[in-house]
Amino acid sequence: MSDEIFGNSWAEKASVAQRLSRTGTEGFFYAESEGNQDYFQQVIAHHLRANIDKRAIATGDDFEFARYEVFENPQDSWAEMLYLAAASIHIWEELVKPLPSEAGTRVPLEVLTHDEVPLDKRTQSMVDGTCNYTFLNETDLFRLEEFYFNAEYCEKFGDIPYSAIDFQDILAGEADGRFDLVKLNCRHVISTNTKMLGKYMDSLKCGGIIVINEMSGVTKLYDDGLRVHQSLYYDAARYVASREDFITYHIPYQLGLIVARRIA
Amino acid sequence: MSSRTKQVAGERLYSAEAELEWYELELSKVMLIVGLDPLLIDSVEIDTIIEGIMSVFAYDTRKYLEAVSPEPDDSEVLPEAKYDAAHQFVEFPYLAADKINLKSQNQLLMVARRAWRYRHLAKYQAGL
Repeated sequence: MSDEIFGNSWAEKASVAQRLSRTGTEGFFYAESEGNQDYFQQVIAHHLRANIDKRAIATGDDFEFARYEVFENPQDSWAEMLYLAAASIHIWEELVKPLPSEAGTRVPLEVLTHDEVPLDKRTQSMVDGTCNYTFLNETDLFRLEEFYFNAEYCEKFGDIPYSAIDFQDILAGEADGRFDLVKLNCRHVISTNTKMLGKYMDSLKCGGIIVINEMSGVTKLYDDGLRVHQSLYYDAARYVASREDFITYHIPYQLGLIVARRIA
Repeated sequence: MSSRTKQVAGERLYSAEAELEWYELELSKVMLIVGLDPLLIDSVEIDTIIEGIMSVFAYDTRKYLEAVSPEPDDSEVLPEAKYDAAHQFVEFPYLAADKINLKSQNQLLMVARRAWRYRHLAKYQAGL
């Protein structure tokens, strides 16, 4: 299925990119963590227990929950593609956070994020003092606490420090100017307006970076330049680019990535 | 609830109640848009909300906008007066100054479907 969506060339690029990257772990996403497979199985079981409505009228073409079944057992070229999706988000943190050897001598990176998929590299950043993570209060955090932090697998990390914040508080401005890095998924920009997206951007310090992944609607944003404004994510992407207090780059890799830095 | 930091090992910070409140507001907003009373949130079916969106917003809403301008501006598609009238159903503590600038039916369908599912999950996770 992945080849039908992205084309063979995309899978090949992802595979080559993985081979030519040195992430500091063996597999970054799957092979590094046997805990991840347990995590996905538990998430899927949780969804079954919760009896989520999976009828077409309730889901449309949304990949939101089906993704965990793909994550659990990626086939064909999905593994490489998922690697690249995760790496394209994680890279920004790797580039700007203090080195582990600088922990205690440099101020930790303040990060606001969600977490669809646990990454051991992220967990390591949380315990080594190089990053202070604040998670959005949403089901992603429930899953993380229930099925990952709470797992026997994570005992090797010791106490994992982090914070959480409600959407309501971000909208109320309580996070304004607090973060160095904000990492979001397209899900967080889907709304009836751009107000919440604006508050995510406001939550950055001057010099801070916001990264929003999966902004292409699985390539749909790039399918027809003349009708680009009909894309589900166009309004949000256009809003980010319209902010004069940011410099913004929209990177048209297949999943679509926005990287913007606050400059005022 | 304000932002919170883990104080002791094993402490959990997720609040199902706060997430539930958020997605009920999101879903209520969509219900208002399609003329449904948010007070019926516990009894309404997603089918009714989706069908409401389909009937209120024709799929080609943008075609009208394209005819006016090839690049839609940020003006509101939903008449503000209608939205204000709908506000009488319920108070929105976080959305008092909110404006809706929808551009497409597709966008609203996604808002509704995601708010529906995350509300459902948050209720389950809250033990409700």
